[in-house]
Amino acid sequence: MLKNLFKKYLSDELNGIELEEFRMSLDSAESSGINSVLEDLWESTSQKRDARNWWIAAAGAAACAMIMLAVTLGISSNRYKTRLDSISSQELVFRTDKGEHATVSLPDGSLVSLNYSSCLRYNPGMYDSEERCVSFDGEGYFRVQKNPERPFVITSEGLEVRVLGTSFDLKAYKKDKFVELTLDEGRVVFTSLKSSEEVVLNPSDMLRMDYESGKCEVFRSVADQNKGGWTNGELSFKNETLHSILKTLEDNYNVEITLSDSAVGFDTFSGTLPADNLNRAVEIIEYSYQLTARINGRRIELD
Amino acid sequence: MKNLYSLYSESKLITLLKNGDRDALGELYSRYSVRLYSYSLKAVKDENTAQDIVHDTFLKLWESRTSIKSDTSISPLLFTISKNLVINGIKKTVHSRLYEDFVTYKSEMERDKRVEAEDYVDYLFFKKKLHSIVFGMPQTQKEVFILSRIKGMKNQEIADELNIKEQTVKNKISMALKVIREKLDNR
Repeated sequence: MLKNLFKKYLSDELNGIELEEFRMSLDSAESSGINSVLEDLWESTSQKRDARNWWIAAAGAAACAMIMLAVTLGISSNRYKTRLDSISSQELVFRTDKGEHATVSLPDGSLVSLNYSSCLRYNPGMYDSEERCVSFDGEGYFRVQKNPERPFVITSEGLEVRVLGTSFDLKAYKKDKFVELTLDEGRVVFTSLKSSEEVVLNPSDMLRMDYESGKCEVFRSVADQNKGGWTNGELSFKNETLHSILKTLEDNYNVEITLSDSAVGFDTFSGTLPADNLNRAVEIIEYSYQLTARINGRRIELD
Repeated sequence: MKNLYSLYSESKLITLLKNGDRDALGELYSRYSVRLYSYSLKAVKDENTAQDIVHDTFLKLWESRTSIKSDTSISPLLFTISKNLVINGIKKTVHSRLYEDFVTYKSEMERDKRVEAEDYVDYLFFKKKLHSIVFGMPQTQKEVFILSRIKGMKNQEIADELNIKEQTVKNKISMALKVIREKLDNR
């Protein structure tokens, strides 16, 4: 009874008699009926001022996540394939192999583009609790939806990255010597678990952590990194040796490249190579280093 | 560097709060005050009371910080702390003459079939409109109306205060209500 009167009060629909009843039952200490209605009201009130818009946004993000997942799973072409590896212990695992790319959409609408040989895991049941937790290995470009109430937390071997809503590239291959994080937008807090260093990064900062020591080095305002370039079909290099460039090409295209004159491999290269056109990429290398390529299946020899 | 706290998890903030960290309280305030305010406003239907509730709730949270359990979530805690404040606020509203006027006004509108679906008037709108109408009233009428409806004084008390007859008070109030009704209808 009190519950109904209270609901009418909330929507300003009480008439004179009901108002009198409501006044009396409020005063007569039987306030338990009011609790559940208040609780519902509290739960339905979001941090944003207009709860209705919030629902539309949430529904939109959820629908988007479903579509993205369908796209990710449905397309079977080698380059954009990802495998839904295990649903055991309710953890979702997205993995790309050599030469594969994929984009994963998370429940809150955040997007993660996975470069080759990368792995992203999260537990959907836990994801929307107080923190948005994912674990990660490999290289990914993260576009994280803003949500001040629920930080987005990435854990990877020896490090933790906390963000509220940003875009950045994280390159954390366990087999590499370094982890690299390049920030495009927003702000992130990077924690090295080994050295307990906590570093705050601002846009266009780049951080490099040594896997072995856990030591961090920060390059402030590194302009024009174009680290996320691979997400739109480009591989960017700045003063990198041919050896490391060929390694990247191998991983990206899932090929084997041999260089007959390994001294050339220490010459450096700056520029971009296509991430989706192997012939063109090899042509550019040939031209820049005056080399000739012989392509034989998945093996490429450079003379 | 100024806002590292915005990156902290809730459980970390609770730990800091328990240790007496004021900035942790500030961060919780910035995360939850808007929600608490709009919730309170829906319940008590008064901006000032809703503001007081937000303020008092965070004050109580601070005062009771040492007895908060580490595994508590903030949302249900704020709900619990604010509950009695909100219920008291609701009582204050429903016992006010102004709310009674509002209910009467709405009943009259319905009885006289003056309402269209899109003409729905809620209490917050009613109050806002009413303030601007009262502001434009002649001096005595305004004084009588404010003492009666906003300060909640009895007619006899108003008569004594303003040194006029009780019947005059009654007349002024009913005239004021009539003006308000007309102006509300012509909005």
